[in-house]
Amino acid sequence: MPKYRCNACQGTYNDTLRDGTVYTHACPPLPPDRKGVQPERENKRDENIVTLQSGRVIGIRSEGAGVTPLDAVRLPEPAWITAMKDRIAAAEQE
Amino acid sequence: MTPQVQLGASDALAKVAGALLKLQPHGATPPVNAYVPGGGSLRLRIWTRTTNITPSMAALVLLPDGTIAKNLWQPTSFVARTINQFFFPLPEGFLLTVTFFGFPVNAPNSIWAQIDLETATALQGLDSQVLCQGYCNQQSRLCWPNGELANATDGYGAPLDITGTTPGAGAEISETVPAGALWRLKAFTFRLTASAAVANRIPHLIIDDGANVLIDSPITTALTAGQTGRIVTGDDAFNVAAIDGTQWVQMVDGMRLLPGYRIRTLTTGLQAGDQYTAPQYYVDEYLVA
Repeated sequence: MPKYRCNACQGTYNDTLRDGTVYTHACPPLPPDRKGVQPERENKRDENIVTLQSGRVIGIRSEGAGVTPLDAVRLPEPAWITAMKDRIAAAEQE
Repeated sequence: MTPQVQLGASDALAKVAGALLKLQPHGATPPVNAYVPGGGSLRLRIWTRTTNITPSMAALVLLPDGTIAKNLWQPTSFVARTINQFFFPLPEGFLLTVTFFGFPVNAPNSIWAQIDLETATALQGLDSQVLCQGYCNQQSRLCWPNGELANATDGYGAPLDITGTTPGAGAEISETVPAGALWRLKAFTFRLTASAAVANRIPHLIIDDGANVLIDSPITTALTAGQTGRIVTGDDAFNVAAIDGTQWVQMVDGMRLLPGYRIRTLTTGLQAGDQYTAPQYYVDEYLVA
């Protein structure tokens, strides 16, 4: 289970759970302002997958500031995201 | 005779030599109500929360010349929690049986599949006949005929034990229900270690829909400088003051959380050096489009 640090919120997380379930990180909102409103970060990372109604996968919602791998196997991003991007690229070529 | 089965990429149909059944192409009585005209296909749609699965789908087709063709397909490459759609062309004939099996080990209810018969492309799938749909596990596979037509939100869901994101120092916990998932929150716990800065910290457990707060549940005993406290909540929990460093916060029972909903903290008096641990939580997950 490779571990990553989000460059936007500095949170650390594993990209998969112990049973193989994909984990999708999304940055928390910023502290509330004087009116109590909690704005989102400008460089927010959100790994939730965007799918069109036709079923076509677009990618993750927001790359944000990217991630930093923390494990010895230094994959630049979670492997499931790379695999998804490869599939999207293959589909576009078809 | 041993049926010939072709796997994978070719998806070609293999005929069984020496078939005893002979179907008259004209005026034949269908053995099942799944006549496949030329150009028809099976559509397999898979939702999964893991990507390392190797599902298989098998089908028997009675061809016009009376032979039975046996097919086995093994699709690859999946994206988690979204539609993975595959089309398998069929020749003219009667579809006799369809079976789908594929399960990751130790992850129950992690694949939801739907198989339908597409008979015309002109209607873009709107004329398709759903043959079977449901979750697949080691003890259950999808099949047609006599299989189930289950809804994706039927049953107990997939029990998930999730380790969330460890926030940076001075940052709040925030866990988002993934796109393509529906959660029933069963238990949620985390720890807060307060720095030496003097202040009363009161973590609130918040559930929102991505923007609007639905539940705001604070602890009853503030954490002070240098203290570490564990906060726990779960189905139908109620507030319990700190006992041996642990306190419960109130939560409703069986709340269903839609994609984009968040379970997070909002802490009165949170200091820059305060540190939350990664939350550990337990949910029942359903795969929903």
